[in-house]
Amino acid sequence: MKGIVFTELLEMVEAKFGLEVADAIVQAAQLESEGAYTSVGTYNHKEIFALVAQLEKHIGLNAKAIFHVFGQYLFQQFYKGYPYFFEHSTDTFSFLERIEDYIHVEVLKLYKDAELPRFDIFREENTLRMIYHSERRMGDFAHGLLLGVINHFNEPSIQIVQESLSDSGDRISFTLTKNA
Amino acid sequence: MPEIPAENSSRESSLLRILDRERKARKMAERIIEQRSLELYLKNKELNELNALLEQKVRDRTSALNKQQDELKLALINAEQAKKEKSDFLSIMSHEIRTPLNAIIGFSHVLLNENPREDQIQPLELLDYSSKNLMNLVNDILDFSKMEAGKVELNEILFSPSKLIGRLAASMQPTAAEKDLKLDVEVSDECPDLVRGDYARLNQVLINLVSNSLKFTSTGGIIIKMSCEWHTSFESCQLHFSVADTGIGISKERQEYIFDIFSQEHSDTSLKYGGTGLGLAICRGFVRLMGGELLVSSIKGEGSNFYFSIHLPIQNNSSSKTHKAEAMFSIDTINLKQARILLVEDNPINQKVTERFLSKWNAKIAIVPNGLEALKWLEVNSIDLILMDIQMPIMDGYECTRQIRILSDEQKSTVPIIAMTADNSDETLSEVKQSGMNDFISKPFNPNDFAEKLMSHLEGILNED
Repeated sequence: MKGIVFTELLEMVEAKFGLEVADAIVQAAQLESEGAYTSVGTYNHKEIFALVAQLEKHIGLNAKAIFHVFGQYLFQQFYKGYPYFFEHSTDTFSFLERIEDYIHVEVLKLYKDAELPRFDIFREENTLRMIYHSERRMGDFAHGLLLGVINHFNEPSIQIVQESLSDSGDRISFTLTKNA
Repeated sequence: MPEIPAENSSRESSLLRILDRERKARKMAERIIEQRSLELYLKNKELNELNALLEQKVRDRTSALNKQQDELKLALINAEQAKKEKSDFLSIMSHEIRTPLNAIIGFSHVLLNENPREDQIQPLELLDYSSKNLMNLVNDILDFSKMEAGKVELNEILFSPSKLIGRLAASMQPTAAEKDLKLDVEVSDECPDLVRGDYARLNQVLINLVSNSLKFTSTGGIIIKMSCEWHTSFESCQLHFSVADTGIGISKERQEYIFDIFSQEHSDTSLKYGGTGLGLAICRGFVRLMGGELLVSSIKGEGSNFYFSIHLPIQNNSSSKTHKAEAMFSIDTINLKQARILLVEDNPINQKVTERFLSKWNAKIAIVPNGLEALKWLEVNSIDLILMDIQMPIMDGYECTRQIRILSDEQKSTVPIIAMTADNSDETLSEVKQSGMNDFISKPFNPNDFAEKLMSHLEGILNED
């Protein structure tokens, strides 16, 4: 997984909970990388889970909730760092429709070794259904990012319903519905 | 590590660890940057090399194309040169061949008409026949070469299509009769009296088709048909011609290439039936020039029908001159009533041939060998008509004509001048007209045409009685 996810997580933790908490969770997680993350590097995705597990203990919020919050935070950072991905989108649905064939395609051009989930996308007038496929099984994290998109385009009326399509968590259905 | 007070150690340890991690992360980032820089450098190098290669390829390609273009330009120049040489060759050959041919035809004709001995008649007839065949052959070859070189342009004269067919049929009747074949003509009523077109070539096409039919038919006969559709403007019409026979016919396969030359079938046919095989190709070419297409429908063993249609303008008011010229057609009754004719001709054989005809037709003849002598002669003599050869030493026919046309004596400056040309190419005819000559006759000349032209230009004098 690209370093940016790790560096942003730690910066979020530092900003919200302080340097020492950040340091503590890194220490406790016993990471192969020793937590020396640079955004341009690449690290084992399992370390995210290790860090979030330690964070759970420290702040008393479950992993799912942490991922939801972190997803939203990270999405904001993405917007700041890569504004050109947002040029032609005017709303949540039109942005999400282009994840597979535009955004992720461009990301892979820049970062050949990025590990990204695959989405099957089905659009109806007021519904968007996204089927998430990923070996890394980061459904909650994905959910968080989706919340980030909704926030960014300021469409709080859109609801997300998450459904597991497999026991292992490597296939998940996200149904987004616009309410009037 | 130096001793740190216990209260601060936890925070300091934290900070130190954070610092350590930051340093490690920075170094990692730096390594990544170095690596990316190297990659970039190598990719750039590769790109530059490819670019250089591409530019070289473009240069090579451009130079090859330029070379090719130069070669093409050269080829074009050579082709133009070859075309011009061919054209010049045709003109020269035309002249060189026709001059002696003129003598052969002229004299054999003359001898035949001057009471030959009994035992001389057959050899003379054969001579006449062979010389005419030779002329046809030479004309065919020259025509075909001209067509190939794209140098044929149609002439335009006023003529009667029904009279053309009538004369044609009359001239071929003897041949048909010899083979016991019928030769009929069907001209529909609505055909116009006079049209404007290339009489000679239309005649040539039809004669060719009819003689082919006669050649390949042993029983039955030939029908020459002409019908017509008037254009709504009444100013032109579509003439449909067909020559149908009950001969040996042409198989479907052969129909594909009878109009072509140099085919195997042609050589076999030529051996069996004679002929150069150029005839149909020339006919097709002429008909195409006239705007039509020569087609054939035929069933092997039953007969053939060659047909084509051409579009010609109609002349509604007929001039009396045309009628009169046609009326005075029979060559035996020609009487030029001692009209004074000056013959300007350098070649002694041509002089003799022309003189023979002119004296037979009761003209008063004077002969000079070139243009300068002609002018000198005209200073002290009057004349009714001048026959002007073109190619002569010292002064040629064009220059002489130009000089005559600016003489102060009006009777002399307006005298009718007929050019005697070796070829009837458009360049020649154009120069003939421009130099001030009234008409032309091409060598070897057809005595009938010659007589007709003389009479038409001497009309004023001949009618004074």
